[in-house]
Amino acid sequence: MATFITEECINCGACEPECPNTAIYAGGVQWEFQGATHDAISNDFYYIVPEKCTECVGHFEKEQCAAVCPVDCCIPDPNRPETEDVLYARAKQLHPDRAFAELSAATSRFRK
Amino acid sequence: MDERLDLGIREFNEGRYFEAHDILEDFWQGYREPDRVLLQALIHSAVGFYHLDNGNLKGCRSQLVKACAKMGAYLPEYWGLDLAPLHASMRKQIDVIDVHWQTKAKSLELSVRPRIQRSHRIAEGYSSIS
Ligand code: SF4
Ligand code: SF4
Repeated sequence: MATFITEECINCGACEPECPNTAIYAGGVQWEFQGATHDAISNDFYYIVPEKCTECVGHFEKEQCAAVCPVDCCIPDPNRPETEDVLYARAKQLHPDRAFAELSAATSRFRK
Repeated sequence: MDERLDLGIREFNEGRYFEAHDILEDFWQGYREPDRVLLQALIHSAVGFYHLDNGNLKGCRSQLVKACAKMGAYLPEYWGLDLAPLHASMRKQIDVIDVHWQTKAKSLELSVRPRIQRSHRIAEGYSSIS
């Protein structure tokens, strides 16, 4: 499941710099992926681009946006279930120059 | 206790909910004691009323539900704050929204917004809320 921001968002911006994949954008801001620019997914709230979110797999033990969100509105998207394998492959694709160590409890929420 | 709690509550009581949330969030981010849950409950409450002011009923309701749940363990008072009336007001506001959704009733708001007051029994070492 990619992580998803609900309409409870207060637009504080605390989550954006925490994302290891630059998957989070302010409402109304266009998102970028592989050199292309796309229209904002939300104009009102911060939003997460599912194609860039790995639920922090490959990077951290839990979702960093959810960890800092003061209103608890970064939640797993029930409409987008994804396995650890899929998320890990995405992390590698997003960071082709980075050598990833084998996943552990420190780098995957699935290993808790 | 940190002065940001006082400042945040003052903003809340003045109806400046975004500012209240902002100050309390700044405090909450660095505060690591178990009772930070109550700080977050106050943030949820401020954000709930902010969303209400902006017509975001879904966001308001979800935030007030979270605020009530997290505040439950700290009732009726904590840190010298009389939390029970705030808790009751939030529950009422949730009901008003539910009735609005079910019956299309026009009323969306409580007649009086809650204020966070100091409780009569002042918590030890903490008495700066005015
Ligand atoms: S879960 Fe992690 S990767 Fe996904 S948006 Fe949040 S911080 Fe970014
Ligand atoms: S931290 Fe939460 S409330 Fe703040 S912008 Fe991100 S999703 Fe919105």
